[in-house]
Amino acid sequence: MGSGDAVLEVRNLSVDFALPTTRLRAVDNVSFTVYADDVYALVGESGCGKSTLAAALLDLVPEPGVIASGDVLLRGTNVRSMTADQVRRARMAQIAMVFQAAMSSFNPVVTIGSQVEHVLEAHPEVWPDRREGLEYFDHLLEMVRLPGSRMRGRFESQLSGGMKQRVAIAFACVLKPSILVLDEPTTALDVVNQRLVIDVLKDLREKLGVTVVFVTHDLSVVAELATMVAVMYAGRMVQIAPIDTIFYDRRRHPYVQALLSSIPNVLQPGRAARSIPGQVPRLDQLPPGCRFAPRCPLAEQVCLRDDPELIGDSHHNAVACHPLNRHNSAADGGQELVPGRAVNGA
Amino acid sequence: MTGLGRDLLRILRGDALAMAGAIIIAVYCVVAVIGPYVAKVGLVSDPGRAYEGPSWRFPLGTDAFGHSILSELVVGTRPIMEIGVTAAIMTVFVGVTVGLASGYVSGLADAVIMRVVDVFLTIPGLPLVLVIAALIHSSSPLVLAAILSIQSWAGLARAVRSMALSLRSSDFIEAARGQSVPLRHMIGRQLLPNVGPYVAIHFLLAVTGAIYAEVGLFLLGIAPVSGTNWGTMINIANSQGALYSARSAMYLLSPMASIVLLQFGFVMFSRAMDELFNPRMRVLA
Amino acid sequence: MLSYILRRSLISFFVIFVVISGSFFLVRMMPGNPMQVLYQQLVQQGGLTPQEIDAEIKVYYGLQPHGPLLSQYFQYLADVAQGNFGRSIAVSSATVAHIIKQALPWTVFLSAASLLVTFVLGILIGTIMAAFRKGAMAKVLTLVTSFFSAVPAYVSALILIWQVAAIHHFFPAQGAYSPSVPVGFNLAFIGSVLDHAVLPVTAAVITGFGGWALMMKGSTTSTMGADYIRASKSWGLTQRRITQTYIGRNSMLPIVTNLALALGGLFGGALFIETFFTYPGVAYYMVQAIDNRDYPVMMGCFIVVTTATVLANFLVDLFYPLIDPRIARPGGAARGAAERRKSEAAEQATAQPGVAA
Ligand SMILES: Nc1ncnc2c1ncn2[C@@H]1O[C@H](COP(=O)(O)OP(=O)(O)OP(=O)(O)O)[C@@H](O)[C@H]1O
Ligand SMILES: [Mg+2]
Repeated sequence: MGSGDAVLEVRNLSVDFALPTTRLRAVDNVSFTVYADDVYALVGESGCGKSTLAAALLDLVPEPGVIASGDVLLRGTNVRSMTADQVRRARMAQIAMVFQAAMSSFNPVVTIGSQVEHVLEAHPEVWPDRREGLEYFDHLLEMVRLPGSRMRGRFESQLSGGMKQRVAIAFACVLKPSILVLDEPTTALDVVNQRLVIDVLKDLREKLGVTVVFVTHDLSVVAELATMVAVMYAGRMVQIAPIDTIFYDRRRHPYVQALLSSIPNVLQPGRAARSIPGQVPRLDQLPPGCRFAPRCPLAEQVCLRDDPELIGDSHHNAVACHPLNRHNSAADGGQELVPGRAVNGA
Repeated sequence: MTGLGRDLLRILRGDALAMAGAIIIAVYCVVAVIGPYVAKVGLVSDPGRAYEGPSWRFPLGTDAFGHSILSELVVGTRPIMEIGVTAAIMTVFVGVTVGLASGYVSGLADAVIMRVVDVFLTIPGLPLVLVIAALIHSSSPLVLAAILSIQSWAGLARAVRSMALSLRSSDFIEAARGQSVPLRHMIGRQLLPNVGPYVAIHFLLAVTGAIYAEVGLFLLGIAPVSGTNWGTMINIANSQGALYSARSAMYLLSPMASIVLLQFGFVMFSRAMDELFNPRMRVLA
Repeated sequence: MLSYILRRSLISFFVIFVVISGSFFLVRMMPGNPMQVLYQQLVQQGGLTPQEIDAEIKVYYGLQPHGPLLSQYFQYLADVAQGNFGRSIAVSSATVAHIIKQALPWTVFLSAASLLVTFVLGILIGTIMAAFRKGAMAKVLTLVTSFFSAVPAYVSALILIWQVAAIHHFFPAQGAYSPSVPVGFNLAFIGSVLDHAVLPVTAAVITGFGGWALMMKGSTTSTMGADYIRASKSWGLTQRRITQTYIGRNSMLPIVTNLALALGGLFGGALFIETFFTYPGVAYYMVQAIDNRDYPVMMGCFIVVTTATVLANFLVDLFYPLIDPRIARPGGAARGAAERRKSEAAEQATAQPGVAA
């Protein structure tokens, strides 16, 4: 993992929502790099800024959101310094997105096929011959296990939820993007369709070589699909590490630890699932210091005072946690930290 | 409820036009209540004072009979507001009742009710009101209000029904069912609070529509009335040729301005209500 | 598609049937039943045998005043179906059908012209308001359109007559054409007709465009917030394509739905506009008939107006699937304009007395 070129690099990205009274920072100073053969999972509880971050990659943060600072590099080219037309061309051709609301991301009064044609017409450099583009779309539909030619004449309202999600995935690949970003691709689906989508994504990655970045809060999907995991909490990146480190190495951010304990069977079969006490802080009421500190069993005085930085090589294990980073060398062997001078108790 | 009141105040403070609308409506209400006590329109005409310009004694001048136009406007406010509000209350009552009933019974009865609603929705409202007013020919304010609401309930009924249906299928009604909460509670505690906002806005629109139609009836001379109101003022002004003489400007314009101002007040205030109940639009618009 | 058309035409037919039946029973069952009033009048006039009186009434109402109600009803239905609405009481020797035949083209012309101008102007302003919804211009436009949407048709008509026609003599304010030009397909006549239509159309536009503009603004604004608009941006579509096919088409849906129903409101305004401009349309004759207690003409006009509105609704329902393919699909929500409008209205209640009343 981590080999190949860096296809997507995010540097110190911050996104604000400018509300009438306040300015909320939904994504705060986030950095990460995605390499060509990564399957990158962006994980976190609801409201921690995953969708906002994903949308910021294409400069598509919904109003009243704005990218406050930072850079997004696509194969070394900074999206933030592109002209509006260059950004338009990069969308879908280089980085394609399947939104969280994939269920409603097609124009309801135009057939799916016409919408593909609109895409082809907007990016003539990818498929100079539109007919070939349409045939490729049929091919993609078959890859997502849908009858190709029959889908094109349909309207969005004629597709079931599971079909829509897969059509949206095929649709996103029609310009052969190097990166496919999916926001919660399995969340709204039943188990059978979840399974299908996971298989489809594996297939696409293998056969098309597309780099997959996906957002989820379902750790079982992460376990199945991802090679790299980035965990967000209240707008901050708290840990980035390869999948094995997250699941089997014990040096985890306490929030990650809590996330893992909150689902049954993944970590230790038989152990009862524990929910994380407390709640994600509201963005307008962030605590000083580490944002997780009020819910953290390891929290110390320093955590309540200083914001921890994400330290370490993300392809090894990068964590933003004062206690963990202090014990960095000592705990490298995989010793689980015991609550010592923790302010929150066990 | 106090929370809603506070929100409304906040919106009104932030939106000058909505605030203006609220103030206009409030002033008209006050005038409607106290008007007949503070202003009197004489019965005898005084041709010597006809078509006087504005003065201290007659701030809006006088009409062809030498009556104070301002007094006539003030006195005429009550019947207009009374009938308009009564019609709106009837509209809302019938609309909500039919809508909830239709949403609750479902099946054949629901289908029949909805076909009837469709018929009313398709018939042009004002012509229907005119025809019925002409046939019934009653000067009772209650009957007039009923005629004015003959059609407007239908739109509300359909909207309330679709809301009732979607609420019926939503979780909390299921929950209420599961706990065998009585129907009265389901409607009172859950349906009405959800339907309420739309009803409130529709009430304002119904008042606006009723006043528009009502003044129209009066000024066409179709509804028989006793006493002064804006519609009869325009009617008289019109039939005395006020249109064709520049000196009667005040006589013709004052009642028209009163209606436009009141309608404008309702439009602006209903915008504030809309915003109050659709906070999602707050970010967008 | 066929079943959709069938369904819509059945519903339209049903509404027309209900209106005609309602008209009959309304006139027949009223407490001062006009037929009885006429009967009393004729009896008091004297000089006529009861048979002659009955025959006279049959001339006006097409009904035997003393026959059983149900047979009267069927007689009435049969007559109306043949375009026989009886005779005018006030205008001697004129059948109702004749009056309507004379008047209908004028109303159709005036309504079509008013609707066209109102619609285009409203859509234009509404789109501008939605596109620049943050700027000062949108604030001003919102104020202006809200104000005009609060102006009733009778106010705009009277003010126009008072200001433009009576005082300044810019445009004629009476009739549909000048009596001095020969009626027919010639330039002078057409010019005169257009000249006479300016003020009535302007009066209708003044009261109507604000409602359309506010509706268009609301519809466009909510469409622009839809998920598929953001998605279409993420596909790198050109702005032009997004505006036309994605925002434009979808925000027009509720507007088109309202188009046919607005005819009802338009006719409501025409009652005043035609009356004040003495424009010889159906609305003018209807108000005249009410003044003269000429019930056969009044009911005839009412039935024709309602039928026209129902037919317009039917036409829009027929063409609506062309812009919204979801409607006529098997299993799709085969709802008509009336049903659609109200559920949409539940989402965005914009005040528009001109259209709503
Ligand atoms: N349009 C908006 N206006 C104001 N705040 C917003 C808006 N959209 C998002 N936010 C804020 O940004 C934060 C992050 O939202 P985001 O949708 O990115 O979360 P998420 O991690 O994707 O959650 P979920 O798992 O529920 O999709 C939230 O706390 C939310 O309050
Ligand atoms: Mg999200």
